[in-house]
Amino acid sequence: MSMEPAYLPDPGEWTCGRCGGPLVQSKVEVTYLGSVFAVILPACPACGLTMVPKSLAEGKMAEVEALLEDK
Amino acid sequence: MIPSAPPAPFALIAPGASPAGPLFLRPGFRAVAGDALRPGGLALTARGVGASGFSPGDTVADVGCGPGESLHYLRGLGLRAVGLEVRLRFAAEAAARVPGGVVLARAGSLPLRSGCLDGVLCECALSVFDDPDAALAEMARVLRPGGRLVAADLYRRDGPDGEEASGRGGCAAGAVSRSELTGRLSRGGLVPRLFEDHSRLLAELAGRLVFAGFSAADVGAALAGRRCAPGGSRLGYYLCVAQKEDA
Amino acid sequence: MDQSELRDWEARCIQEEPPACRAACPLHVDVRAFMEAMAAGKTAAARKVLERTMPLPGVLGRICDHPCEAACVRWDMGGALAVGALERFCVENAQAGPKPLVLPAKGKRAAVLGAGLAALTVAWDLARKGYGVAVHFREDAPGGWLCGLPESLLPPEVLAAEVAVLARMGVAFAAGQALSRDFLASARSDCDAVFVEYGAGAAPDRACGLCPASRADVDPVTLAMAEPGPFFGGWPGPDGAFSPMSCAADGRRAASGMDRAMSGASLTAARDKEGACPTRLVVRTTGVPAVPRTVPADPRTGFSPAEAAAEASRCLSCECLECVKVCAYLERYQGYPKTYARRFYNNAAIVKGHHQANRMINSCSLCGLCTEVCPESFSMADLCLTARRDMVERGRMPPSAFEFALTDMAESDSEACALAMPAPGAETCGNLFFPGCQLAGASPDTVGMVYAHLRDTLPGGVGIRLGCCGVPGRWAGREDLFAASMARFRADWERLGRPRVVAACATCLKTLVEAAPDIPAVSLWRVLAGETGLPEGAARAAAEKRTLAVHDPCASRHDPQSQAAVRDLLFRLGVTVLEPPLTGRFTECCGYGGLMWNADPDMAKTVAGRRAGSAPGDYAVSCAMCRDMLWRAGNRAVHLLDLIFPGKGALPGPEVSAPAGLSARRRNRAALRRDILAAVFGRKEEAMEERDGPVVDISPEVLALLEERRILDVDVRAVVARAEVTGERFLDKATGRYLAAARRGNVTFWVLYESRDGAFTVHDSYCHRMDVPGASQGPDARTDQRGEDHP
Repeated sequence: MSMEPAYLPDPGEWTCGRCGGPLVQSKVEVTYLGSVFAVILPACPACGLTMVPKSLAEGKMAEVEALLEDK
Repeated sequence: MIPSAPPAPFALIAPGASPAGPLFLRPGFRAVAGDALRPGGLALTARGVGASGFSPGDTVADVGCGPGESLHYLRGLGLRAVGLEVRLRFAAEAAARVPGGVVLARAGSLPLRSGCLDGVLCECALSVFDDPDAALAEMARVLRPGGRLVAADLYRRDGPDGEEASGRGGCAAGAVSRSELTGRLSRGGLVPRLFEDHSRLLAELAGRLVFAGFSAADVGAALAGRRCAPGGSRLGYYLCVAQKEDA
Repeated sequence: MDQSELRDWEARCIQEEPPACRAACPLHVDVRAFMEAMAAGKTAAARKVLERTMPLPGVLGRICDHPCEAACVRWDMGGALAVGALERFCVENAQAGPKPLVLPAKGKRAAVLGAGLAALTVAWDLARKGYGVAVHFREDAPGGWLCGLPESLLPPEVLAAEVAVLARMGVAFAAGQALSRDFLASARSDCDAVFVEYGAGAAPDRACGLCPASRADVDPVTLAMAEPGPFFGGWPGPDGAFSPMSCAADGRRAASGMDRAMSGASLTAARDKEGACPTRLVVRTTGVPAVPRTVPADPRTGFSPAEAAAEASRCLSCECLECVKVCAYLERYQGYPKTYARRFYNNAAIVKGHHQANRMINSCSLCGLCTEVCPESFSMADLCLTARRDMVERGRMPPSAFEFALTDMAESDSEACALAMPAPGAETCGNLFFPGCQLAGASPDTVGMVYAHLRDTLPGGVGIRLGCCGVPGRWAGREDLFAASMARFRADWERLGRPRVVAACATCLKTLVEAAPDIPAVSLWRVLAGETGLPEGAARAAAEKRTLAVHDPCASRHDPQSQAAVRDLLFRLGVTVLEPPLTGRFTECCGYGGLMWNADPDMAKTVAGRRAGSAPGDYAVSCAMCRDMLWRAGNRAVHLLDLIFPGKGALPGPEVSAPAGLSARRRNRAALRRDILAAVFGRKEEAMEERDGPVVDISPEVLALLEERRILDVDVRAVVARAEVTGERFLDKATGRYLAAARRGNVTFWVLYESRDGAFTVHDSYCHRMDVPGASQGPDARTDQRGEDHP
């Protein structure tokens, strides 16, 4: 019943550099120190290449990493 | 509030507008934490219940049962379970899941006969009761000698010397150290048989909340009841099974 | 750390020791807090402070004979605080607080014979603890010798009011009693404890009454003669006069004994804090101006409110906090070493905001300044190192805390960068030049010049060792890595004929001396100053006649000879040397020590900023990391070696340029190894990294930004190379730029770049530790390793 948080790419017209097509929001399970989190990230539907936008990496992701390292 | 289809283009869940109050009352929290409203969800409940050795037919009360997820689970195990809840909204939800199985009551004054229960479940609730000592005394009272209390809750990992008291209104407003907890239990005639630290589950819940859009500072503040000063103590999460002493 | 170790740590820190006044007061009134309130004009709050510990505060506040004044630290800086007069002012001008809280009845009863101050104090204390108290006395009203005091000193209504409070607390008063021996005997059998005041039951033939004539007749701790017997108190002084504080102290001590007797506790255990006691608190008073005592304008009426506040403001508010005063890191966490020890023991980890919990343990610079200024030599360094090792052992060390530094160390010791060579043309050497990993990275050319100079001037042959001394392992709590590093060092040393190590870095030197005391080691500065002299090029610097402040690296704190050698060299280089406020043994860390810059970059910036801010001018430093940290904090620091061995530039004197960045340092170390092997030992080696991948251009501004995030050019190039080979990258059609990732070790690096005619320009890069499947796929995703694997 819980909803995964979704993250858009940072500003730009992003496409998959290999397949050429647009990106869709896909559910991904990211892991750190043995804990798993479900998030929705931009990814290429054809080859599965997944993007972690800078705003996410330096923002929420960094915060969660710190929370986990702390415990 | 929870949409039925996957969001498009995006649906960042914003934290509630009001900055005060316990986390589990804020809009958006349920969507992230699920109906369990607490670290570990049903998996931790199952662990605690498993460790206490309840058998089908045993009578168990879920004190502070919230929307009734654990209550429903206990019934599913064949336990004669009743839920007690003081917040009307939650009690109504629980009653919808488990008709006839919920009573509106305060933890400090349980409408149950002394010594009538095989077990009491109290999850992520003790630290938000107005009077945790009274609540524990009541829970001990309604347990039969040899009955078990399964408690899971926030606690302070600083030990007995943690100086900072939490501000009012946060989830951890009543969180105490492990030694204070054991002291409280023994004052109620309850002997701890199991004490496990599950602070990683707290971190994971906090992490999910952060990903969902709550700011880490807000999550920390909501847990502690105020912005943590550098001298504040660290929160953890525990699972404890305690047994009522024989008369 | 176990409980008893914790107690040892806590006992070392004296911050919680009482100030001299409080310790000298038999009742331990919190004089400091009292003065704070009085200085702010908060008389009511001040009275509350008195009421916390004083029995019959209305009475005692007026007549207190203030033994604390004799102990006041201000005695030689204008005179002790007028505590007695201020107490008087307070209780005369502030309303009495509510009746003190009384505990639930214990069901035991005490009899008090006599009604002077000592007896009334016993009644006060026992009633508060829940005992039933009856006070028996001969006169019509209680008070004893208090009734004989002049009205101006103690108005009768004040005494009556306090007696009324006692009554409201449940104390019973029986006036007009003939206190005979029989009476005492029946009191002892009827009640659970009895107090007999000096003078109770006195008659013409029994001057002192039922109480022994002198306090020497009773046990000084219990104030009893034999168990179970009555408790005594309230003797006058040798001059026959009654001291209010002495009587109240007797009463309190007797009541404590009676309480213990009635509850079955030991009469003697743990009573060393009762009554006046010594204190370990030390207060530094240098620089405190002498301010004379405030004298009331009208001696008859005493202080006016303004005068009282002025006098109370003279209070020094004695506390220690010496270490906190000199350390931004200790200041940040708003505690002091005793509390920190407790928190570390409880694995509490300080929460700052919402996370960064273990950061405090990991970010101490281990510089030792606190230990120098502490009257008890408390060592935060020892405490933090113990805690770090503990965390590592229990698997709780956050991976990101020291990873960069440990990777750096592994790089320095890797095949590409490490070197251990004897004197050219020989198998061994008498001296082994050891520049240290940071200097090798920051100033490789200078290292070459120093080595050449040493070879020219030192007899016995000079070899060279490039690599790390291993101290980052020790600082990170990784004794295993440190031991491995030391083992490598020792093996090289043995192979090279057990030479004397000439260390350019104070930290390397300190580490060797501590971990390998049998390996002879000396600082480069002492060798240059005392043995080899300066090279010719140094004359250029000498001609400049600079004025520089000298910054001693924190590792040199206990090495005055090396510090003196540095100053000697500076003098010979024509430098006028200024000393910063904290120098020599009391030098401050630049922020690199203990890997503070890795575990808490913000803290390191603050520390460096503070050091730079207190500089009387540009610093002359003898450590490459000090230079780096201070430069970034805005001080144009000059390395001693840049003055001694000026660069080859056309400009006269050394160029003071910005220190090399992190990426450059890595490359420099590898290049230094190759250059030395080629130039000195005639061995050519291929540069390994030049074979890698495409041409990637990173502007200096972008590189500086990346290095703030601990992203190096090799990381960026690896990402771009991989993206180009696999095609795994995103394209922003709006700008034509690519975004690609690769995981190296425990970190995923993302690079934003554009491609033009086979050349690549990097615009940005970021990283994260979380593992995201799909971010860089393919079987070769993990092959680019960033140094060794560190958990």
